[in-house]
Amino acid sequence: MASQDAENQESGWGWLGIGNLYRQYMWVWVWLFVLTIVEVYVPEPHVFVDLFQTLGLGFVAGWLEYFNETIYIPYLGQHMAFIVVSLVLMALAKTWLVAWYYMHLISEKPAIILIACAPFVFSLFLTIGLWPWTTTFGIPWDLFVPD
Amino acid sequence: MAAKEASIMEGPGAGEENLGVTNGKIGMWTFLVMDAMTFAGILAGYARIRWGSPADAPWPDPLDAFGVVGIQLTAFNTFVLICSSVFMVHVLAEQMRGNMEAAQKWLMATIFGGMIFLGIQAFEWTHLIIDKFGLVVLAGCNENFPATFYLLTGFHGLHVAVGVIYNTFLLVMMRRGKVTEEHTSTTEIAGLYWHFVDLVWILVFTFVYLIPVHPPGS
Amino acid sequence: MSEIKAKGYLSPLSEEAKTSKWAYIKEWLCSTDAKRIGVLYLAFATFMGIFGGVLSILIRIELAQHGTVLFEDPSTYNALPGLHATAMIFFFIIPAFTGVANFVVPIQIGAPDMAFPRLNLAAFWILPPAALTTFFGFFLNSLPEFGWTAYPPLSNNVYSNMIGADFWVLGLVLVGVSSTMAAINFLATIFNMRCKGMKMFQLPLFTWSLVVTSFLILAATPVLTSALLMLTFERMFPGAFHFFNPAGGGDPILYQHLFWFYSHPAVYIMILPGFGLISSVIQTFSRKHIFGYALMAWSMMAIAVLGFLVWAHHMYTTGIALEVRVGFMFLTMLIAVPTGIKIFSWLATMWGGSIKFDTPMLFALGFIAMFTIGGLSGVVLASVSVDIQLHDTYYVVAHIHYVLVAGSMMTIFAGVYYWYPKITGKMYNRFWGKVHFWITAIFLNVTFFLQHWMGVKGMPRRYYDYDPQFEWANAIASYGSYVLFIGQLIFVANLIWSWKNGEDAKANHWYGDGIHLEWFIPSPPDHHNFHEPPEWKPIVRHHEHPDQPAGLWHSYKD
Repeated sequence: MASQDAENQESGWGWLGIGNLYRQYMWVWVWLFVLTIVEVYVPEPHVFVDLFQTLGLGFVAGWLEYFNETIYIPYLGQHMAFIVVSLVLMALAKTWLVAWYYMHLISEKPAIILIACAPFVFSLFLTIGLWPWTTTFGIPWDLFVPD
Repeated sequence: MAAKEASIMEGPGAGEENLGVTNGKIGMWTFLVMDAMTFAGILAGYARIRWGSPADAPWPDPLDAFGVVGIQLTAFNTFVLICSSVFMVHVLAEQMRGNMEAAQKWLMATIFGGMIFLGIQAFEWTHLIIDKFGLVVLAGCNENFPATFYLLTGFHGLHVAVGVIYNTFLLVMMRRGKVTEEHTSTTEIAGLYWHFVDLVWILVFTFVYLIPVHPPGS
Repeated sequence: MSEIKAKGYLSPLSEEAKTSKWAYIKEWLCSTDAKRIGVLYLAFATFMGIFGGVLSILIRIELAQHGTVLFEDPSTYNALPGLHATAMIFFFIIPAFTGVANFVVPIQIGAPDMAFPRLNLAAFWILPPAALTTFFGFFLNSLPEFGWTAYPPLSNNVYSNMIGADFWVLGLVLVGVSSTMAAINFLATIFNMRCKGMKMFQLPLFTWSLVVTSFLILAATPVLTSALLMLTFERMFPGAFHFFNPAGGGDPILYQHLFWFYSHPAVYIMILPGFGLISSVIQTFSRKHIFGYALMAWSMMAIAVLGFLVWAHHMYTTGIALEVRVGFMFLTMLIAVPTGIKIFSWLATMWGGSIKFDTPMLFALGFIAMFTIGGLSGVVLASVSVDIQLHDTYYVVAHIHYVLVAGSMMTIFAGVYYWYPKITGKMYNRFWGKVHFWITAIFLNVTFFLQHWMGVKGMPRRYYDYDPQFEWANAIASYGSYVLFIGQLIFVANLIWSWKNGEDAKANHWYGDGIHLEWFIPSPPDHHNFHEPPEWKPIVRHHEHPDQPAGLWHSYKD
């Protein structure tokens, strides 16, 4: 279903002047690529410093290191909640991109979309149910237990 | 919409009342529900073991365990799989506009991408078995770090291998003229499987490689 | 060799098979016709049901008296409860429902066959090797002794260091593959191959139940597979994998979570087709439409979704957090609501109906009465504080048998009797059918009812021996189980005898009251079911409608 947004099979082609590339698919690919880079950067910002150094781009590595030390790590990177939540959200965004555009849920019947969503719902049940909970959610349960 | 015509009523079997897709597509989607739940079982098990690690055997930080090069290599592998996915949708797109030559080239690129992925994973496994994961255990970390890693990536790698075989089969059928521009549904169903393998890798990559134990600032 | 004279789908297809018995049998074993595969499933399930029954009789002989009765070595006994459960759950109840559904569902929706006929045949042919693998320990004299739950650490390589256990795990994975293949097939068939007019909310409730059950199978079975994979790795490579071993940083409770995430939905996999089937039987023999059709369908879906949210009620005594247990208790008790909707809707269907007490209807009524007992004891067990006392006692055994024997097994009997004229083209012997019902209904209670009392008094399940105070009750249960088992042989004999000697069945055999499509084609149906695509005249479900004034029975031919 290459052309769910198109009137005929020939429209929608051509990306950056290359006729054999389909525009929508390539933009999704760009998004997946960018998100992957950001995903690696968020928990491990210095990986790219090392990478640029290996590539011989020492000055880029220097800028990046300066950015990491003065802005990213002091304000965002030291909060575990930020890292975990943003990583999970980015992973979900990527899976959504793949499912919606590459697996063509965008032009699919509601029944198929429901079938596709089912494992997400059930695996959420499973994960919440078997999580090693140690908190009492702040509720003084002891009060309800008779002596 | 030309889009719908490709998948409705292709092949025999659909009844008067239907969902407007082929039997095969429902079959593949329901199969993927099953497969996704298999991964869900293993991933949820991973989550419980990881976040329930005892204090005297903590979970190692993935960056320490895999090393900077390991993370970079796997990020590259993710990129390879994403590229392979975008090649696969182009197979279908070219087939739909009747360009079977180009479709076969895209499919070859898809298969090549899958093989690169498997090759890099084999290299990574060898490296980790020989050089790395003994150190994790020696450092007093949870011994299930390697165990869950091999189970998850191994099970996913098995799926990639099946996908490569599936796509190769499709390529052979295209070359022999058994799958022509009429049979977009066959390609679409093969594509569903291949994109699913990509989709699962996105989750495995995040949970196994990326989510750290300590924030980078500490 | 005389010519094989059989009608409909039973007739040989090739010229060769018309005269050669072997060619005819080969044609059956390799047939992709859903009706033939359904009969194969039923034959296989019957065989495995007798096998599982023999195992249960061995258990009951051992327990008939205090002390050693049959087995000198308690470890032989230890293997039996688990193998009995495995045989009955995976190789009897689930294949039996799959068999009935294979025969009935394509016809009920007006389709010529299943969506993927070859996948269907493959799904069946995985089962016999799977059974052989699961019970291979019998040939090696190394039976797994960890029950059907296989909890680690009991099931790891230290405490269950027998090769039979590995075969058992592998066999269960194969069964899972088979049942997921069947589920995929049912969903594609029911979603996509309905005849004209057969909208989703026109589907017979049996077909609806198969939709819900197939979803349960798809979402639940793979989680068991992943747990068994982990268990196998831990058993095979104990030095490298420690998922369930605390010494290596693992967690034995994790296995129980994954196991029950499958095995709790599995009880709905085993009962929902029965619910759907009973709905068909009751409306036919009451000459009334099912009461509350839409709610009947929605309550099955509610049971399925809730069924995924209650699994930890099997784990109240494992030390999981109290808050978690209370949440699971609440959700578990909530399931009684949709189940109650179903029970009362069946009663309301019969209310004011013209009831005929044929054998299928007797089984349906017996099911409603006794399944309700099983359901009520389930609500008792759902309560955390009560369950801590009753966990792993005979109360649980009584509960599960009221649900599975009085529930699933009686619905299977109802379904087989109900569709027997359609499947074989012959009528079973009515007298022996009723004898079978009364033996089953009475001796089921003799066998299992006192087990409630034993459980409350503290007799643990799965034990080789027990306190002498339970001897009289166990003796009664054992004698009840012998008669119950012999009663089932009457059933098998009746069906086999009637297939040859029964009177010919009419197309709409049950007094012309069957309203679904299977009753409007000959008995037995022809190959590919319908000669021309059928059209379903939608049933208007309003009680007051010009076409169907209240109380008037829908006639398809109108």
